[in-house]
Parts: sequence; C-alpha cells; structure tokens
Amino acid sequence: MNAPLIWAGLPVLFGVVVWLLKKYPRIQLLAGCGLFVLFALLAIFLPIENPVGTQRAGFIINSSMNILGRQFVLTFAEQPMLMLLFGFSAFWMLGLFSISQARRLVSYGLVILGLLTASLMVQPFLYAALIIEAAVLISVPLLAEPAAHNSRGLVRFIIFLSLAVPFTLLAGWAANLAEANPANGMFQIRAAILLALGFSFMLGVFPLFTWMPMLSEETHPFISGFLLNLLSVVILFLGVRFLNTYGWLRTMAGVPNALQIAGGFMIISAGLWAGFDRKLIRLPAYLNVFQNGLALVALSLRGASPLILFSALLIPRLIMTGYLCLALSVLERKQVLGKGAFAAQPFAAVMVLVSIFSMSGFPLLAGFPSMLLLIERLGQQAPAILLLVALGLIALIGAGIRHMISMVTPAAEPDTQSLFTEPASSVLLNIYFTAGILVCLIIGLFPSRFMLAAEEIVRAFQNWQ
Amino acid sequence: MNLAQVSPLLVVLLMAASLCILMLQNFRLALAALAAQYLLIFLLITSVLPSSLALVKLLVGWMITALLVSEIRLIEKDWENRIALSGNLLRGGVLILLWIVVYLGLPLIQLWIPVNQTVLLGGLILLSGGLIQVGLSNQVLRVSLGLLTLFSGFEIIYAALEPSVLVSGLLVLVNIGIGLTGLFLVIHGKEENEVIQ
Repeated sequence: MNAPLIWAGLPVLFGVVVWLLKKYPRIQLLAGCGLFVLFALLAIFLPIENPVGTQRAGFIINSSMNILGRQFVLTFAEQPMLMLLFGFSAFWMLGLFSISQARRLVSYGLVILGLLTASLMVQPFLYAALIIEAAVLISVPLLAEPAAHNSRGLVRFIIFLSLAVPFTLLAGWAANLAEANPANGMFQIRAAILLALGFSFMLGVFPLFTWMPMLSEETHPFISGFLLNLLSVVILFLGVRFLNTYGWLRTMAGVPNALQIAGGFMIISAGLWAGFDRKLIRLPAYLNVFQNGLALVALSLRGASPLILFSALLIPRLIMTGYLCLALSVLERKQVLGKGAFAAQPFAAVMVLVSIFSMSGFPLLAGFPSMLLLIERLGQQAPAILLLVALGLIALIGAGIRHMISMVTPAAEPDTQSLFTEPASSVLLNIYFTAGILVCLIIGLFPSRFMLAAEEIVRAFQNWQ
Repeated sequence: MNLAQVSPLLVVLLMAASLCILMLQNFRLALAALAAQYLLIFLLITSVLPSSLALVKLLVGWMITALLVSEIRLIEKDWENRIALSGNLLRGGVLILLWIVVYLGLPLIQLWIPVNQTVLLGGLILLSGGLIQVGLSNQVLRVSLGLLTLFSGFEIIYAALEPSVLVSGLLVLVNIGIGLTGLFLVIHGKEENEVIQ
C-alpha cells in the first residue's frame, strides 16, 4: 500500500462508485460523506513511512508510487496539508445533508479532490498543470446547472484554466533549463514570466478573474464555492511547492515585488467589485479573489516564516467560506437573497454577515489574528501595498454593511408562509450556523491553537528559509 | 521528397485549415477542415516526434472529429453565426493581422523557445488561430474547436521542446476532454431549451 494510492487513487475510484449510486440518493450521500470523513481521518491517523499496527500484523505506508515512469510522492511532512484538504472537503460535504440540490457534488467532489491531490504529488511538477486541467474538465458536468439559461461563466472557466496549461508546462521546461544554467539570468527571467502567466490564469489575478463571479451566479453557490476554494488552495500550494523547489526563483530580485503588486491589485479590485455589486450570490467569488490576493501578499514577505502566515490565512478562509456558501444556498432556496433575508432566515443571514466581516479581518472574528499579523508585517516592509490592502478591506467591510442593510430591510411582500412552515432540516441548519459563529469567535479569541496547526500545514516546505 | 522541404507548404496549408475553421459557416466543412488540420499537424510533428507517437495525435484528433460528426444533426445549428459576413471578415482580418505579427516576431520568439523555425511557425499559427476563435466567440462549439486548435499548436511546439511520452499521453487526454466537454455543453443546452419550450 502506498500513500498516493490511498489519497489520490482511491478517492477517484470511490468517486466513480459513488456516482453509480445516483439512483439511490440517500445511500449515495451517506456513502460519499462517509468516504470524505474516512479519508480525512486516515490523513490524521495513518502515518506515512512509519510502522502501523503490531510487529506481527503491522504494515508500512510507502510514500511513493510509479506510473509510466513518473513518480507520485507524498511524504509524512506533507500529511498535515492533506489533512487540511480532506478535512475541509469533509466539513463541506456535511452541509449537503441540508442542501439537496447540490448532492451531485459528493461523487464529483471525490474524483476532483483525488485528482487535485495527485497534482500536488506528481514529480516533476509540470505534470500538475495537466492533472488540474483534467479535474477542471471533469467538473464541467457538475457545474452545468440543469436550469441554467446560459453558461458563459462556465465556458470562461474552461477557457481561462485551459490557457494556464501551456504557460505552466512551458514554465516547468524553462525552470529545468534555468536550474541547469544558473549563470544565465535570461533563463531564469523566462521561467519566472511563464510561471507568473500560468498562475495568473489559474488564480484569477487581476484582471483575469471575471469568470469567477459569473460562475458563482450561474451555478449553485455550494458547488461553485467548493470548487473555487479547493482549486485556489491547491494552486496556491503548488505555487509554494514550486518556490520551495526552485531556490533561485524564491530569491530572485523582482519576485516579492511582483507577488505584492499582483496580490495588492487582487485585494483592492475584489474589495471594490464586492462593494459595488448588488448581487449577494457573486460575493463568494470576490472573497475567493480577495483571499488569493492576501495569500500572494503573505508569500512575498521577508523575515520570520511568511509561510506560517500564508497557512494561517487559509484556515479561517476555508471554514468561513464553507459557512458562507451554505448560508447563501439556504437564502437562495428561500428566494431571499437580499431584502427580507433577516426576517425569513435569521441564522443564515447572520452567518453571511459574520463570514464577510471575518474575512475582512474584523476584531474578535476568525480572520482577525492572521490579518493583524499580515498588516503588521506589511507596515514594516511594504507600506504602499498596505495601502492597497487597507482600501480593499474597507471596501469589503462596506460590502458587508451594504448587504446587512439590504437583508434587514423588509421584503416588499414578506413570505410569511415560510416563517411558519419551516422544514425539519432547518433546525439542523440553525445548529450548524450557531456552531459556525461559535467556531469563528473561538478562533478569533484564542488563535494560538490554530497558529500551531498553521505551522504544521507548511512543514513540508523546508527549503523556504 | 524530404519532409523538411515540404514543411513550409504544410505551414501554409495549416493556415488555410485554421482560417477555414474560423470563417466557415457550414459545420460539416469546418469539421472537414479540422480533420485536415490534424493530418497536417501529424505530418509536421513527425519531424520532431517518433512517427508512432505522432500517429497517436492524428488518431485522437480524428476521433474527436468523428465524435462531433456523430452528433452533427443535433449540433450543427449551434455553429452558425447570425452576423455572418461582418463577423467573419473581422475574425479573418484579425487573424491575418496576428499572423503577420507572429511572422515578424518569429526571430524574437525563437530566442525564447529554441525550436526549428518551421515547427515554431506552424505551432504559433495554430495557437493564434485558436486564441482568436476562443476570444471572439461565445458559442460553446466554436470555443471548443478554438481550444482544440490552440492545444494542437501548443503540442507542436512542446513536442519539439520536450518529447515526453507521458506529457503527450496527458495532452491527448486533455484534448479528448475538451472535445467531450464541448459536446456535452451543447447537448446539455439543447435539452434545457427543450424542457423550457
């Protein structure tokens, strides 16, 4: 048995098996969610390259697997990263028990997660772009909404992610050349530019993120939210892995500035777009771009472990986006995305606001500790970028206030019927949202625990400092 | 006759095929041009890849074409443009302009991507053709054919840079995926329209 097979091969295989159970939706959901939880638990309790069990009946999980002469490697140090990905997905899938319209996510989610995990394991790195493209193409049936009248966002999603493939493959080739010829700076510049273009398409660097809000509007918020966040996090990890592998790239003169400028523009543009867009359903996309920008800015910092800051930003992001998308799904189902939301679905409406304010670094909420660290470091190292970040944050807070006013405003014709005929699942949802708000407060009030987890997640990237 | 001698002719034929895919209003003729384009790619790519590997690209290309042909009655209406003449003239004009720019910038591009000039030109012609198709259309079918053309161009260049079997295999899978995705989205859109009607 080896680790790549367990966390990349088996999820893909089981995803197909779960998909075949579509005639039995209840069993499909239970089996799928069970598998997500199982893989997350295995990531926590099954150590790679360490003996498991007794001496007589024990076994060792190997860290590598060969396919067609190429290696897929997953080491013990990378296991916390795996825990984050599988744990986040399992947490997300639990929401499906209340959102029946998005249940097809469970089987596709397993396949997509398996492929994305494989992209993090493959060596050499350049193959990752092709595996991500395969995951993108597989996600198309998932994103094609049965009742959607147009799929412009979906088509753009395919185009932009496909355009990233040539650049990333060429960047892999150029990086190998640059490593072989360290004296020739031209090779390094070429690799850096190609890589920047590839990642710009994948991460939605300004102005290449137009497809994200369109996709969010066209598809179910729970599905698009999952895919956008999972893709972004995996691509960010790939970027970190690339920088960790190629030391010359990490220490190249212009790279921190480029990361800061790209990240800064992503933050301010996403904040402003979120502030001026009336449609609440597009908000997760803007928040995704905003958080990607923050991650890039965190990676650009010098001094004590920018990587820990990078992963400290990821944890509250993933938790709060999960709750935000679940709350938006509830509001969309009740057709109260906007006016009257507070009266019709108070828990979901509060959850939306808490998520927005948490991600804009509001004090006492989950996003605050990491945001404070980021702002402090930026103030010392890049005040100009801090200005962009501050403007983006103000715009995002403005968006939160605007949506709060809209949700508090009573609807023209209040749907009083739905207030008295709440389905049983809404009790579960209310408990879920209350737990979400508590988690948000706990992380905000006691950040030391989750900072330790953040440190563990990036343990694999030892060459960074 | 040596393949190197006919390569410039192949590039000219590739330009014709790419222009046909971009401008033709008849989907059947556009598919014929796509099939011809894959044949030309095969001939061009044999100068940098072993014939057996190049043949895989031809077979996959024709497989995708056959897939589209099999649903031709269902999807050919999705190919037609209402703004036929003006739109076509614009696309054709932009593409020819882009080819001129590519041709003039070829020595500079060759500094960055050091491969045989004819192979590079062939790849860039398809890349730019695909890019124009993808950028100037919002029809799913045209976008998929544009992406297929774009990837074909990239494959020609990348095969010359790194003749790896696994990359070629994965690129083949991506090509099939793009073809299937395009077909799925067109048919999916049709089914929705039928339900609405």
